Amino acid sequence: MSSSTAADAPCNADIIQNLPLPSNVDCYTPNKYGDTVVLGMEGSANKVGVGIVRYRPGNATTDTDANHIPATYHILANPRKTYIAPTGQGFLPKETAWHHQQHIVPLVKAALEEAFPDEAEHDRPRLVSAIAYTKGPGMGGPLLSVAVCARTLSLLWNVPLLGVNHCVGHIEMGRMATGASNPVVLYVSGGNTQVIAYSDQRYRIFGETIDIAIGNCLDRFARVIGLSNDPSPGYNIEQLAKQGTTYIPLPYVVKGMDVSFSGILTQVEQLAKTHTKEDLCFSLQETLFAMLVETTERAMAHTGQDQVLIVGGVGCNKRLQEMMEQMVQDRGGTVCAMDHRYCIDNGAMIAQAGIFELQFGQTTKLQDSWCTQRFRTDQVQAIWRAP
Amino acid sequence: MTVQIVFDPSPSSDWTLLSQGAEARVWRVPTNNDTNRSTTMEVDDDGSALKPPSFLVCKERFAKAYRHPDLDTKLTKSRCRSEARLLEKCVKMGLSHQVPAVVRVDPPKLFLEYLDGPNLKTFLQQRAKQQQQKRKRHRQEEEEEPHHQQTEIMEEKDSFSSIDFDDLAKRMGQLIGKLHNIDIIHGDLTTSNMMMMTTRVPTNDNEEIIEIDDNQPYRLILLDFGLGKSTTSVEEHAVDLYVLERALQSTHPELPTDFMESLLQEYATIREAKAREVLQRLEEVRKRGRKRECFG
Repeated sequence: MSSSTAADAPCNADIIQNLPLPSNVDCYTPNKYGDTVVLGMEGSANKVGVGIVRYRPGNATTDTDANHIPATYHILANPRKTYIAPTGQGFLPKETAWHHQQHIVPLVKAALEEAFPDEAEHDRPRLVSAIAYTKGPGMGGPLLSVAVCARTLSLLWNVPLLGVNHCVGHIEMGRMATGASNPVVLYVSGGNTQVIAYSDQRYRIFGETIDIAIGNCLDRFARVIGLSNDPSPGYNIEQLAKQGTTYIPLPYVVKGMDVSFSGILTQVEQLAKTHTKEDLCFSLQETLFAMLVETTERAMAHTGQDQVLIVGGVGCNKRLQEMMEQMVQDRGGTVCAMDHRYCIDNGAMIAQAGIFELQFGQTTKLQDSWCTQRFRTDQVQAIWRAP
Repeated sequence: MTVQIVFDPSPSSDWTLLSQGAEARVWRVPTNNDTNRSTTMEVDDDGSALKPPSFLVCKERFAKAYRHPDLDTKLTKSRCRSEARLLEKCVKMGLSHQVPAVVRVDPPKLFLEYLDGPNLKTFLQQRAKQQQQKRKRHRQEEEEEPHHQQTEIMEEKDSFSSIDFDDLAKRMGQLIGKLHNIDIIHGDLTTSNMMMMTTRVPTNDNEEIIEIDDNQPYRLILLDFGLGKSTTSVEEHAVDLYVLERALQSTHPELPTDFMESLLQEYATIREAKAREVLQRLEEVRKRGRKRECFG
């Protein structure tokens, strides 16, 4: 591998304040080094990724700080491949599924090689304790393509399966990567727009879009003005927006803590005939992101929290991060933002959420390892978090 | 019946900051009326002489630096004016005792009647905590003396310690029903925007006062109409209810599961013929949330 897909140092488990592991857990075996390694596989939209996360237990000593070695979680590898549709088109389930089927095995091999470079190729699977995969939500064909590979490997390597909710994966990766133990979460991507806050072992959805997701709105607009999908339509909108100068008033629709985007999409599609792409991209971003920041601020006021975590592909957008930062500063809080490695769908986030499930005995039997296109974030019982 | 209120609308050090929400700062503004009087607008037993209040509330929307200035000015001014207009409409059309009265509009500042009472959200959360602690105590006692006969623990007497959830649900249903009947949607129905007023209510009101323990009647007040709208749209009415439903689920998981049902039953009674369409649409809006393609 020429460059590492997982370039960060290990993360200290103490900061995330999950429950201490139950002492009678015997449903998985650590590898020969005493580590628990989970391989996570993600492919619910047009990105397919395989991530390897290692949990190394600490020494749990509390006598002196100097003697205490904290438990750590370390991302050992996180390669990913994106299916980019031709300009002017969105990505369709069939082609996306084929793309994932083509790339999943090479990704698994690449991830294992990057994670365990000093082991012989045939020895690497023996270091993996379990396989996590995205149960949902997402697109049917792509989800299944990855799930079939996960099931096959779990049978081949004789390790348990862990079905993971895609949104929960984003959240757990976010908490781990940024050290934010209990933030208000803004989850914004091509398929999701939710404002989430944790309470009593569930990730509760405080606000969401009542029609389309913000990423979907941006992607569709990009198609209308003929922007390339490479590397992603949202990225190209962001670059054009930097050159916009005139703010064009657009519909701003916030209902309580919910948002609505279909009205603004219709409006901006019509305006494409009479305004420059730059000004439209600029105005669209300013309006859409203001709506998100407003609903996030309300959730913060409502729950009394002062930390915000932005996850999902749209979270890569620097202007959104900037606006959120400004809002949060005015309230005396902090924004936890990540870069494209973890904002965008990836395998390690599935492995991360999977490790927590594994530690609390929540493995998925083969007959239960189905996928579902609709899987609400609040349906998951986050048994690993303190109630 | 109107009352003359004399006060200085320009900010001064006499103003006390009551709270700072996501959108506005709320100040308590002293009036120049006789301060020996009570702080709320009261009607005497014979229905005469409205006493002028000693305080008013100033709701000051502040500029948000993260928004584009054009968008920001548009939002703060329009929400301020819209809120004032809606409150005035409520007062004119029979909801005068369940929303604050508007005294003066000075965008982005809005001067309103000063109402004092516990915020419903805080009240419910405190009560939930109390119940949790009580259950913990019960459990601890069970552990210590497992054969000890369960004794009644005297309820700590605070103002609303024995609130009837069914009653609360009905009151909410009634209030929202009346609001929708005058074609106004609130736009941000949550328990943070509701308040429980304990002042004795005027007897010339048609509303039945339902008493709860210790002869402490309360009435539900609705605040923060900044996202509200005048509309006859069935869709908007349904979404208004949906926003409340989700807010209750996410903020108050301790509420009984039939809370929303009781609320909607009362809502339907108030809305009569219009109820069926709205409730049907509500079901569709709920399905939209569950059926959404959530990929990416």
